[in-house]
Amino acid sequence: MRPFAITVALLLGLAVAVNGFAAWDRGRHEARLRAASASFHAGQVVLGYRNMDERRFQRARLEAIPAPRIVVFGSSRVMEISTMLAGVPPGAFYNAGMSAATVEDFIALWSILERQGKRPDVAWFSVDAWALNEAQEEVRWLAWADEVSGFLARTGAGAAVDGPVPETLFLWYRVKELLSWTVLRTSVADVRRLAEGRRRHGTEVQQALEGSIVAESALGGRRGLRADGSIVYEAEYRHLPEERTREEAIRYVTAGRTGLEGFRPNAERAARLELLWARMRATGVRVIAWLPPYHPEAWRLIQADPARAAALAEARILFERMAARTGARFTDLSDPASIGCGEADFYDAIHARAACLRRLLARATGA
Amino acid sequence: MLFSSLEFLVLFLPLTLAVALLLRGQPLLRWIALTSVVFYAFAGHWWFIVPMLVTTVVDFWVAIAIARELRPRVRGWLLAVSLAGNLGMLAYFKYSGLLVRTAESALVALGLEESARASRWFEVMLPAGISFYTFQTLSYVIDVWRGQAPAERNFVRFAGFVSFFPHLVAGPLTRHHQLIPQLARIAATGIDPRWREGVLLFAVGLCKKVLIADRLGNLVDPLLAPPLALDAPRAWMALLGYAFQIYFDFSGYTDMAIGLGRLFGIELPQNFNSPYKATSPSDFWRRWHMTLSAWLRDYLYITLGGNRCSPARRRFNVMATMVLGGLWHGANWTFAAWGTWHGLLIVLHHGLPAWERMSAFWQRNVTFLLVTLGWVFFRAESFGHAAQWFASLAGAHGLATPWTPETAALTGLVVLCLLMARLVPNSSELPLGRLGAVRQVALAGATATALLLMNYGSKFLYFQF
Repeated sequence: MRPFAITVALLLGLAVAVNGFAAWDRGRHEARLRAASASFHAGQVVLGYRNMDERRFQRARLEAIPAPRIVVFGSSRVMEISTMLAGVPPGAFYNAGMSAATVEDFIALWSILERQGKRPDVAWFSVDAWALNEAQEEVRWLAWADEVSGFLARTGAGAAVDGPVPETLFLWYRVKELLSWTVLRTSVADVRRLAEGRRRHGTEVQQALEGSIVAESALGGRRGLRADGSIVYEAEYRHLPEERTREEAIRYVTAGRTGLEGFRPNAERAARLELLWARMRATGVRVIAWLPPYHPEAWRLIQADPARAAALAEARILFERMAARTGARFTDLSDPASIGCGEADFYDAIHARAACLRRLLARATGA
Repeated sequence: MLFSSLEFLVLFLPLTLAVALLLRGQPLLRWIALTSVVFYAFAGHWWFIVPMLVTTVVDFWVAIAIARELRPRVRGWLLAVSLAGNLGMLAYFKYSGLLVRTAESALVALGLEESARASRWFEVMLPAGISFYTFQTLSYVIDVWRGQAPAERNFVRFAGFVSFFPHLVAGPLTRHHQLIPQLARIAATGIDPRWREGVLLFAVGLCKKVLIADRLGNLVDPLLAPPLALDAPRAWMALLGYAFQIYFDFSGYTDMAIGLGRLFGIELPQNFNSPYKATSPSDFWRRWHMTLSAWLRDYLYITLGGNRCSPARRRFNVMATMVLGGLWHGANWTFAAWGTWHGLLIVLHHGLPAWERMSAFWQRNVTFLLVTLGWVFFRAESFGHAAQWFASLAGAHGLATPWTPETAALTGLVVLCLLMARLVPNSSELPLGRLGAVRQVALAGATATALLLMNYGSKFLYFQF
């Protein structure tokens, strides 16, 4: 069995080495990225956002921006909400959305704002049902466990995330990343760029804030992030034909990517979100939350599946109760028809276009 | 916890095996039972272990009471307790949902949508593998009652038999005489792992699951989302893709389970024998999910009278066994239809002398086609969905298909799978004990790729049964 064992060990070792090197290289650039993030202003966009560590980037940006009046928290589903869409003057709005954001991400972002004395008047929350699913593994937030621990300690909720357990979990997930095919593909591309003497993705990210900041008018169909935290999608994504969008919506549900699969309410996470809203309300912040809409086809498939439909309904009830107890305003907008959004209003299964988001904001805020 | 997860491969398995290698006697059996329960707790919800423990405790004591009891009537009552307990629990966890959905449809038909919606809250979550361990303990108690097996007096050994993690959630359906003596042996002598055969068979199963079944699933699932309106070529490719997905998924799982058993010095029963090489519907059931077929034959078909009765009664016995066997796979009337389909195939095959006059080549191909058509009922979410699929297969939505990268990938995989299923020896025929260096390196390359590709969200199809 020696040839088998040696070959497996060599191949996995190679994958770990490539991933490890690429991760180390990216880490170096993130440090420079943080330093550069302060020189980023309204009217500009930063390129290469896809490659950034969003949590580190947001931490850096929140430390750099002036106090906003409205902050939106949520997953990538809210990232297109801009100052213009929010209907407020420049500087009054900040989009703290990030991919697959968790309750703990919200807490950490809020903690940074609060510590910096940048408490907004209004907090918008796009809450995803999957965020309350016990079966949904959420570990990326552990990158800023210090912020979450601090918040829970300050609000008397104890040191629930202190201690070796989250650190060990975080370490374990980092190890898993080293053995991931997806990560390996990215790493190989990074290493190949290095070997070919081309600019690294990390370099692009770092230079994005050092030098790859362009005026929004000069973006030219590329993906970029505005200084208010909102995203401008690349033309290729914006112009996806409706059939492709529909196919993606079907795949999203049938491939079990909704995050509603095996739904079990995560009581600890729900309690943390309620604590956050209560804390915000206690400090005079208006909290407006909503369940964001799905693509009509994804919505139909979710409703056709009793387990997923029940999961969504259970999450909605949890959010409603939380809102009622804390004085937050909550609206379930998961049904796209409830705000008149059709298939043409979506980029994919869960990401609504600006027109739909505008209607969403009008409905959620009661404006 | 899945076999194809890093948590299992890097943490659970090495720790479980390393400690087991140090132990003998009762402590070894306790360790196996304990780790199996931990494995099961991570297979879904921690409370899954409660019904399993109830089954284990009740059947352990019932079997001892039956063995001690001499009065036939009392023995019969004790058996009834076990049957009621096991089948009652299975009915509650597995079939209450079916009853609720049936009632819901009836309420909707009567215009009572609100009541129908409310009925969803009565649905119960199905503990993974309950169908497997329930059938295992049932067969044990029945055999003790029949006087064909002694009652096991060692509770830990019995708990190990029920919960031994390699076969716990998706089989092979292991009978008491196949496992309890082996547990007694390893308790006496310690574990003697068959490293080479265990590791290599596990690797083969992992590759089948991750490199073939999961890839097919990614391509087939989007095509089969209701409402299904595919052109005929894609409907057929989806059907063939699913036929191979379920085969490589389930047989891959079984290979991993048997491989893991060998690492603990235990031989679990073979579950597949190249089913797509079957030359008749009856032959298919001697090759597909062999342990379930044997269980249904021994405890249902023969109990109903088997072959020793009139032809009409025998046909009834076949149909009843296959319909109930179909329902065992899932709480949906479509599974009953799947069982009915196979029952009809077997009955028709027995009454069709012309079948034997066909060449083996045509027997194989016709059997494969008929079995594959049956998968429509197995995969469809409802009869309406199945009807849409059959209509698509018949060309109701067109005969031409656009040539996309997905279609090309699915076609390529299906052709590869067809060649593998027909031409390559199955896992039990592979000479793992004397696999040459070149083949080992090739298997290692595939295994390393599978390890990197492991889809953490993917579950084995047979978990739900």
